Amino acid sequence: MRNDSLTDLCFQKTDEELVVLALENQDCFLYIVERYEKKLLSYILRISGFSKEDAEDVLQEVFVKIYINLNSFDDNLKFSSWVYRITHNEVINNYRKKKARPQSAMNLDDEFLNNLASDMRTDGHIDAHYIRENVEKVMEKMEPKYREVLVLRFWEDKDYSEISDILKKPMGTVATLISRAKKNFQQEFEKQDINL
Amino acid sequence: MEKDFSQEILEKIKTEQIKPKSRWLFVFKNSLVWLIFGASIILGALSFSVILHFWEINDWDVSYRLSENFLTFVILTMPYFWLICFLAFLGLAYLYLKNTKTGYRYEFAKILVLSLALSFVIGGLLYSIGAGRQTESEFAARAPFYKNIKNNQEEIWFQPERGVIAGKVLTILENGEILELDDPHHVVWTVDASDAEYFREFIVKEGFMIKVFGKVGDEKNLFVAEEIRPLVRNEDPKFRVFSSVSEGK
Repeated sequence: MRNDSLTDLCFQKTDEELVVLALENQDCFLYIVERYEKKLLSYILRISGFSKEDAEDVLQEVFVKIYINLNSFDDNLKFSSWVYRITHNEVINNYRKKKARPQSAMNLDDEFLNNLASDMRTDGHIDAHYIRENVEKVMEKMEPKYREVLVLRFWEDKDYSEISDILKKPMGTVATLISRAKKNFQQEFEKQDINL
Repeated sequence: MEKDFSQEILEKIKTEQIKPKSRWLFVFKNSLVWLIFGASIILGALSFSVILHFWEINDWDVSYRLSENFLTFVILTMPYFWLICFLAFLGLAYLYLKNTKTGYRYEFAKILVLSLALSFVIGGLLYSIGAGRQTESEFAARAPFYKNIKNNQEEIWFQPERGVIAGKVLTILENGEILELDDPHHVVWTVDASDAEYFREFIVKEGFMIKVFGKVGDEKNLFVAEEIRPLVRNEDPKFRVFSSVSEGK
């Protein structure tokens, strides 16, 4: 299905250019999928707690929605923020369909743990190594809205403006959410009788 | 992922003949959201212009007749219907501005201040061209539910023990020295208007809704008038169930 001329056409294009190309040539959408499938699957797993199979089903729905709505993308927004927003919405839709609170399958990696530990350390009284050992357990207990904002900030490494675009909330609200999420994180630590 | 996920997606799109929605559909949807936002601001502003109209025609100078303090008078005579309309349209404007493409970026307070500022400016302009008065009159003439709301509010001007009665003029006798007045409870009062002053150049006619300041007389249902005013000022008589009067400035 993939041919060299298509690769020449789509390879090394920006996301925004790929959108234009995908609207003209369906096959170019393949490159958008390839760019984002791993990132989005990890994101779904981290914020939802769905099984891998369920997460892949959600991801498939996400890409179909992205394709259907390609014409609604406008470049006031980063393409990545737009696809993360669609993913976030699709995960919420799936919570509703399943009528279940997300269970955990955090599978946090070192990058996330390092980022979070480093940020918490700036507060001056949390041991980074200790956080690494216990963070997964704590994240499982957190409210989904707090967990998601921490994942976006420290694992996806999104800035406030991008998180604002993904969650469709004002920047001030995002800042408040992150601050509360960090407090919530610390409280969960304390609840589990872990000394900070 | 073991299987070629991207190929699978592409095949699904091709097999199910999934097509991107038209750009025009999104343009239309976005325009509709802006249109509803704009309409909400205009209607909120119109409600605000009616509130200003009520503020203008309220009998502030006789507030002491109805209540012990000014605040109670304000609460009693507030045009709640229009206040609710104003707040409802303000809320609608907020919701729709939030639903524009980038509306979520603005804090609640900023949107509120923007919507209020727009409503006040446009409402002030509408009021200055008489749209508030006209809107209120149209409602009074055409909306039965509004007539009921309004009649209830007009009842506050019927408090004989406080020296004020209101109602419809049934008959004018003895060159206007005696009026027969049908009060909100359909009790007919004889109003001695021989020494009454009339509000500005107000001329009473049969069928007019008026309020009368004075005191209850010695005989049953006799009221000695000191001042007579139209029940509601600035209204075109043709729009009233019981015709009222224009202010006649």
